[in-house]
Amino acid sequence: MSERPINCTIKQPVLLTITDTKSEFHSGCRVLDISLSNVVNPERKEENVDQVGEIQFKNYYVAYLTVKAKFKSGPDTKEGENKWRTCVKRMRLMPNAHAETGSQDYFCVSRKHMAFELVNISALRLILQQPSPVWKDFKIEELRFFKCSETSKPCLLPSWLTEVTNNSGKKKIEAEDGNNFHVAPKEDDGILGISNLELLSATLQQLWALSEEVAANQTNVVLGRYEVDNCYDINLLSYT
Amino acid sequence: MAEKRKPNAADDIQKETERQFLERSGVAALYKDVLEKIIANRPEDPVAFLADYFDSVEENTSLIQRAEQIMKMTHHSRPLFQTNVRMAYDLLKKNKASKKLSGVNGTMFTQLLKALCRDIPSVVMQKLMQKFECHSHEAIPFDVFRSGVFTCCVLQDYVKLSEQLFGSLDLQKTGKANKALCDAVLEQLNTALGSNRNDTKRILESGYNLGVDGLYMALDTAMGRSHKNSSLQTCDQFLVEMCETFLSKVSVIK
Repeated sequence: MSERPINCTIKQPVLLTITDTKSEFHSGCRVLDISLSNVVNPERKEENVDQVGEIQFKNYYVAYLTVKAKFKSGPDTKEGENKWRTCVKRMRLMPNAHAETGSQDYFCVSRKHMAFELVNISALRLILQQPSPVWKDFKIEELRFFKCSETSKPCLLPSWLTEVTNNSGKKKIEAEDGNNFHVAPKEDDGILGISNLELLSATLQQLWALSEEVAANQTNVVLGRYEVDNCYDINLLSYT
Repeated sequence: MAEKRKPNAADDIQKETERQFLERSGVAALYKDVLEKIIANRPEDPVAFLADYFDSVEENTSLIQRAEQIMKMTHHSRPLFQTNVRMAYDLLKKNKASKKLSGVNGTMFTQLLKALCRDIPSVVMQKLMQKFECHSHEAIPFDVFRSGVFTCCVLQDYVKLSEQLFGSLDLQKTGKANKALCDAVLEQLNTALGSNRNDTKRILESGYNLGVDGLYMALDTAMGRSHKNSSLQTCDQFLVEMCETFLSKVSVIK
């Protein structure tokens, strides 16, 4: 359950205004751009490197949230295809835009809120909306992105651990088929599985316990020998 | 046993009662003793226990054999074991009154330990005896006796468990296991034993390392490192290495 935060650059939110400097028109809409870093993790090439699993933030008087995503242009994407797509549409953060409820809550936008998986994306755009003029300012704080938690993908056991059952099954079939039971297993020679890891573990723990028990039961009583190590050394004795 | 049978005992049999007979032949005392012992020890296999008991009662058995039998009456993990050890010690002590001196000396102690360790590999036994080496003239205090005897009894269990462990490592049942696997297992045990008994964190860590998950990781890395044609190890080699770990916990008597 290790959630890994994603490195990304969050730009300053831009308040949408109508291009008229004189009239102070409050559009109630802000745009926040996030560019995801393009650092490829060399260890996990086979996985979707830039998969965003979760978006966490603290609300500050935002009523609706929309998330748009821009996909990376791969070799087979045509020109103009990598445009913005809406991933979360007008998610309601405050039940009533004029009331306090939900205005300063923590939110977590996870996969179930999203229309599609955020895989292979280059940028995200958050659109914050606050239709109510009651509030002076609206923004989101402590914005963080996380990769998918790994719980959905249980770690697969390596083949040499799990193969033993398959192998015995294979062997049996071979034996039934054409009694070539003793033919050496082809390529799995030497990497056959441990049949019972639990038994192994239990045995080892017992051994540990036994050793510790003995260590605890060692006596300090001495037999009362007068010998000191090396005191009967011939060189020492010859001096006296 | 005290048997004072007269040459013409057959004539008396008719006259004496059953109870008198039992008492005269010493059977009553013997049975009382064995019943006491079997109830106290509650062995898993009572018949074998009785057989062992009567074996040791035979007159030509040595003191060592009798002491060994007492020691084997109950498992070392049970509290009664301590009582039995005391009993064996007293037995050895009391009956050594051949000269003016009496008591448990080094020879008897060594003999008893060797008898107890009969089943374990001789290499291991030699190493163990080095730890408990003592001269024939030395008197063995009870504490030393107890510690030595206890170690031997535990070692027997340890060897059995190690054999079992090797069995599960010996994947193809050829009598030889992958050395890389054996070494990995041994290393795990060594690390666990290396932890100080007051260092709780280390103990917890070691516990985890010997658990299924930790063991799996260790074995996986070991298998990853080893090549297909890596060397093999026989059960005896493995046992010796395992026992070395054990013996490192046994202190030398001084």
